[in-house]
Amino acid sequence: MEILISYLSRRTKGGVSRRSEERSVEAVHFGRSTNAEVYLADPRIRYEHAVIHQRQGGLFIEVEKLSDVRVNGQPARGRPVAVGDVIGIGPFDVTVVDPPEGKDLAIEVELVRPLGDDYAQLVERSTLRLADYGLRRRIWSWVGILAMLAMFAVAPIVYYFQHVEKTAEKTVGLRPDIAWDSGPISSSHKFISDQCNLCHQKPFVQVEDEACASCHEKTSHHFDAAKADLAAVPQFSALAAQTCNSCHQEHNGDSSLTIRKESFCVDCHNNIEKTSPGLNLKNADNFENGHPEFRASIVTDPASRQITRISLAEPDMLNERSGLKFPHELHLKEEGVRGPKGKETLDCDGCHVLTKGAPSFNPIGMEGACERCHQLVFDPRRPDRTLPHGQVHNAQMLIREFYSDYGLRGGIDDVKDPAPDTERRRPGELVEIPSQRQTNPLEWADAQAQRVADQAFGKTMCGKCHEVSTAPGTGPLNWAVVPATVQKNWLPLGRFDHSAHSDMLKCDSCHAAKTSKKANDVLLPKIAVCKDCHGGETAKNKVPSTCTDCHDFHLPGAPLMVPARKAAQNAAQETVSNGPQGGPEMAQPVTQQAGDK
Amino acid sequence: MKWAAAIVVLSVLLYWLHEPVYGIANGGTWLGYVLGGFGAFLIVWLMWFGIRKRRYGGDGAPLEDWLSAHVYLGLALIIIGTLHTGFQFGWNVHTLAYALMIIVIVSGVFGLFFYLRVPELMTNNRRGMTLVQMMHEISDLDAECREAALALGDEINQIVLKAAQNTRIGGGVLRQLSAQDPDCATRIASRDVRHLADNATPGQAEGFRLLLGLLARKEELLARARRDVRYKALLDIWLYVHVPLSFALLGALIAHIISVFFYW
Repeated sequence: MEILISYLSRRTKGGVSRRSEERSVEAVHFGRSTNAEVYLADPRIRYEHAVIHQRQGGLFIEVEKLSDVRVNGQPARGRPVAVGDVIGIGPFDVTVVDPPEGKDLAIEVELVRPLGDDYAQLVERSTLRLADYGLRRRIWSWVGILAMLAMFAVAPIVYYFQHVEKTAEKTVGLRPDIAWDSGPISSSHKFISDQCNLCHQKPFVQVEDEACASCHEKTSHHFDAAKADLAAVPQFSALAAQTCNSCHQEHNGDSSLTIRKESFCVDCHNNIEKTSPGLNLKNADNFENGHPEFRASIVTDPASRQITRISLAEPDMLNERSGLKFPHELHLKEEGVRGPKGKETLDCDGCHVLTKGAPSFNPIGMEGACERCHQLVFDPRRPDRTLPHGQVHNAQMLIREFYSDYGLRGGIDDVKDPAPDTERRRPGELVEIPSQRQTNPLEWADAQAQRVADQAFGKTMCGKCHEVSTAPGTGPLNWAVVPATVQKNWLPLGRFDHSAHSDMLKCDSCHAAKTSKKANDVLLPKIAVCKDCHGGETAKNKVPSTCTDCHDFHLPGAPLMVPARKAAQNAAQETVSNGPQGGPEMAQPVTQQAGDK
Repeated sequence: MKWAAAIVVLSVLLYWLHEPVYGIANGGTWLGYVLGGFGAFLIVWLMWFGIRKRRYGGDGAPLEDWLSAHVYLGLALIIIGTLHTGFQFGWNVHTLAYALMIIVIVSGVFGLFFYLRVPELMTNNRRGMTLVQMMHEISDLDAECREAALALGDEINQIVLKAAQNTRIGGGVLRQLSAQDPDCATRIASRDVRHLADNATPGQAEGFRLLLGLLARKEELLARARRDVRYKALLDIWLYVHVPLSFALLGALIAHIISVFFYW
């Protein structure tokens, strides 16, 4: 078979170059084999790719197994070939053209699908920079800032103006301003924790005192800021200008709603004798080193109920005049005392009973504490008749009336004689009355009443425990009792929880009652006793204790906190315009109610 | 640096000396407001660096000084921001802003580390070549491989062709950062050719040896090119955290300031 093979290659500038060869062959092999008649140097061509045979009836193409051949675009495995066919062999196109004279077959071979630029393809496949991978810093920056603003600024503000501002209703579920919550609400305010605007009443305005006072309306101030001589002291005017949230910070959980810092008090109180001498206060500092000795508020005159603060460091001055006589020593004797049913030993808690639910004691009264032993029976023949306690006039009247009645009913005798109703008169007979009984019943009764009253009031009953006096005209039988003025709390400005200490300490650990012979003794322990266990705020080997462990800032008796502050501000403004003015008296923190017994 | 150190020392000292009267430190004390205000100013100023660095030949201090200040004051911000929190954290926008700030600073520290370490590695890895040169050489090797394979079997040709056509450098974030391509076509080709070479006829041995040598050289070049891509990615990747989160931080910061004073 005579063939003409033309290799065409296109030039970059246009035009076609042609290299032809004439061969005389058995068959036309296409492939990468060097033996192939048409050598196609391309890795996409198989070693033996296809072959064109001459058969009877014309030319025929046979395709090797796995090879890729298309005739006029149609995949082919074997078929006749005619002039005009374009045979696609891998990346080559083989066109069958009209054979010239004497040739059986003429083909044109052209590489139409070259591999292309390796470098360009490699660059195209590769992603060499992160930026080429679709990461966009700018887009994500916008997303970041806008998302943050939308979620945490716009949404809560919109929510506020749509819901919170209009209603104080509790809201349920997720609310956008939850992200603004700077910390947990204290336990005592948790019940309003879902009503932000109860406290935060106006946007961009700090929580105002009025918001606090809407619930805490009775909270009193530390002093009366309107008092002129306090207003002139910078420390007082500075403190008066403080708002509630200067001291009380919410959203810190339970840790700091109330100030516990020692320095908060000490800043003023360590020099208060000098700054405010009129207040009768002692300088105070750290509990361990700088706290003054306790000053007991004791009754110094029972008649006028005068109460004076006297330091425990001055034992000579400590002489409480309560109007009572009560030797603790006698009652607490270890061998016991005589009781209604024989000898018995008394304990402190026989009389001093802790009030349930409170850190203090029940008031001690005749009824309950003394009466069991000290019964007010004035006539041994009538143990059922007793004098009324606390009613001096009635008691004297009762004695007088008792003996008047006794005498009138014929009972005039020696008090040791049997009662008059034992002498019965037989009908029709006269009772013989002994001569000594034939006296005036009124005289007898008066003498008897005075004698019994003198004994009862002077010695056996009233006078045993109370200061009594006798003088004409002081009562029906000339006796008077000084009212008992028992101080319920000797240290009213401090808090002391007896129940918190009683499981560990005995009463006599602190109170020297067993050796106290007089009711005038002030049986308070000195501060040194407290310091055995309690140290200052930063104490390392003692219980760290700060001012507020025992003292309140908001003092009972002082003006109300919120109105007081407003008044102080107004007063300050007036002072600026009108000069200093007098104000109402400062509430004396010393003031307290004495027990009335 | 001196400024940054002075600020840090001053902040810590103040925090040490500052005793909040309620016993709890947070952003609401006077020192809290001071530290917070200064921290917010610093954040804005540090972000201004992104604008300043684009102004080539801008007035004022040279860019090197700006960068130095950016680094040191950015580090100082950790202390200032942390002290501003008073160590109070919660699930809220305030702690979110703090967390974003810390992430931004830490990403900046990574960036700093990369910029100190990577350029030297990059130079060593390149051995005087640029990535473009490497890729040109890889392409040339592809052509040589094909050439060498022509005399070998069809299967080899397919393998070599695939190796040339499917090998790529870089790719996704992980591919770029790891400098690894588990599906690297060249590596697979090399393995397959080596496998086929075991059964090669003596006449083909020389062709196989040539081809394997070319493939090995290409693999080595690919590894270097991929490392180069990795180094470039390292110099870049932290910025994808640093910059967008800086802006997120700015947003959270604004929300934080608004919220604090809205519900004062």
